[in-house]
Amino acid sequence: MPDRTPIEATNLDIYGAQIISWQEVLDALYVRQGAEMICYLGTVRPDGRPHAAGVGTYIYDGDYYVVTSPHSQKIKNLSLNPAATLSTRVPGFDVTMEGTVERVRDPELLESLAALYREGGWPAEVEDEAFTAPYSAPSAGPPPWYVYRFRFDWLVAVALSEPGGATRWRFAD
Amino acid sequence: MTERTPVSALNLDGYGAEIMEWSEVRDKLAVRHEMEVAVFLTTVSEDCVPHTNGIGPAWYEGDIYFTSNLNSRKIKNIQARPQATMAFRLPGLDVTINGRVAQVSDPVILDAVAQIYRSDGWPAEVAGDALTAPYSAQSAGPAPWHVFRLRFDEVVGLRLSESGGATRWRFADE
Repeated sequence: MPDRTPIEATNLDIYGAQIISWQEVLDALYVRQGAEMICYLGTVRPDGRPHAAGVGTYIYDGDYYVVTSPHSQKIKNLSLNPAATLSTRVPGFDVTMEGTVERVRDPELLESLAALYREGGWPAEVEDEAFTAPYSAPSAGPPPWYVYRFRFDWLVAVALSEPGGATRWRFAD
Repeated sequence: MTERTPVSALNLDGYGAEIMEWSEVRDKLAVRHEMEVAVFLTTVSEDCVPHTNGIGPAWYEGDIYFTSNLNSRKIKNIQARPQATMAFRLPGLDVTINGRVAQVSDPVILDAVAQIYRSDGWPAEVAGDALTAPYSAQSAGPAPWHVFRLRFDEVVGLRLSESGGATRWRFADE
């Protein structure tokens, strides 16, 4: 899957800043931040309350991937309502996204993602359409961990430094 | 409103780290961090679509406050569903909070919140039941900005260091 191209861009800045270049934001999304990465997944509980969880993610070929226990609260929420947000701070921008989440079972894709995690220092291996490893984050629960794709429909970037700017992009499949 | 004390604490760490002290999280939330800390607010629309914004909150006497234009999507969501989450990346610590949001019009609190923002360098003043200033964040929309309180009922702290540590605290209304 190649990187995605927005079909619409809206300038949200009310102080005269120019629309932000999509390429500049895309490049920032791909900067590897390792353990310093800030990323939260927002989901909706069955009773309509929101839920937020810190997640380690990778962007790969234009989509975000999250590895988590199928017993986690976020996955229980997503099984009933796949709508989610992903929020992250990347070099130069705060980025919030809205989209949907679905499980990844494609063996080739799982292998590519496991290789990315291993490069990042987490010894993930693919086993039965899931990841396994000797350890994970402190509150991740035991393996296996499933792999999920977050595909954004909307993305907002707010610049963290001069000359500023805030832009919203819309995407179609 | 005085500082709040958790009614329960649960160790979420699966690798043997000790339960964390609430004061560790509370003290880091209460310090002013300005722009180096990323904070995201998530709300849910009436038809169950989640929405997330970056915000710049202020801690005052045990509650968390933020400002918003009344026409924003987050406020429309909160009017339908007051529950929200806030996620903070603090130095060495990830904190996620569940709670309820309500608009605040108490002049004492508005003054206190405006003063916290002024000490950060944002020249906020109280005007009626809201705050105003010559400018705000790029995407904040025009003044006035009303003040909202997030009253938390659950907080999860996750240490980012090698030593680990993950704890959930619950709070009850006094």
